[in-house]
Amino acid sequence: MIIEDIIFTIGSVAILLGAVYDLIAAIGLLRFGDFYMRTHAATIGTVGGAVLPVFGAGLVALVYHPLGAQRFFMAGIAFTVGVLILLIAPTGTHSIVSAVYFGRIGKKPRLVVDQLEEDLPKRKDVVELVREHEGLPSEGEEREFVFRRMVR
Amino acid sequence: MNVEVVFNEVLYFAAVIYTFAFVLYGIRAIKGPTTADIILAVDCLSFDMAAFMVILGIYFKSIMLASGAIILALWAFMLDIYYTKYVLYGEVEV
Repeated sequence: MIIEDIIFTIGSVAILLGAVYDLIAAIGLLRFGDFYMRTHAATIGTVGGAVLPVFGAGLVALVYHPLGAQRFFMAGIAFTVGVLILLIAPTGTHSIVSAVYFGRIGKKPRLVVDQLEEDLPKRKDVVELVREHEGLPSEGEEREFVFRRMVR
Repeated sequence: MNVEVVFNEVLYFAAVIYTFAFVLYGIRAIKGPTTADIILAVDCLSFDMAAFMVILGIYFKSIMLASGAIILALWAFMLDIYYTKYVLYGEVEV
């Protein structure tokens, strides 16, 4: 049938394109300078190099008759893996980057401006914020005796 | 059938490119200056391995190969989250 041939061709092209994306991402991950640049290559490698060929493989498996009746199972697994990677990969990469930034791992690259650093609360401000939140007296005031836990 | 012969050629070509990409990812995973680079490379490697396992399952006409891909993808996510919690909070708690 002509529709099956069209779906088969689309799936094959997606698999081939995904392989090329994967090679580009691997070269980028190897050649880029610092960690924050490498995350761009990692995005290409996961979304372009994993999600696209998996969806293509699912389309191929739907119309690939040598698999027999197992082809629907195969297509279901392929689409499940594709949706899972599409949800999981950006979340994981974002968490790693936040860990590297806030945990100060490695050497920071030379930046022109870092607006997140300017917006972060300084250490003295954090102490003051904690005092306000806990209801503790500040440094100058005399500390009054309250049973905070019993009042609550 | 002519289409299936072409499809086998496409899968063979894709497998060669994937293997070359895996080697490059592995070099970065071994060489990486910090731990975060290693985690990122292993992350990409796991996701691409999951995709490659689905393609191999179609090539060898076996459903058992493809069913391991879900576990592999979830394992890579677990690695990310555990690394983040260990670095930022000092412990891995559920």
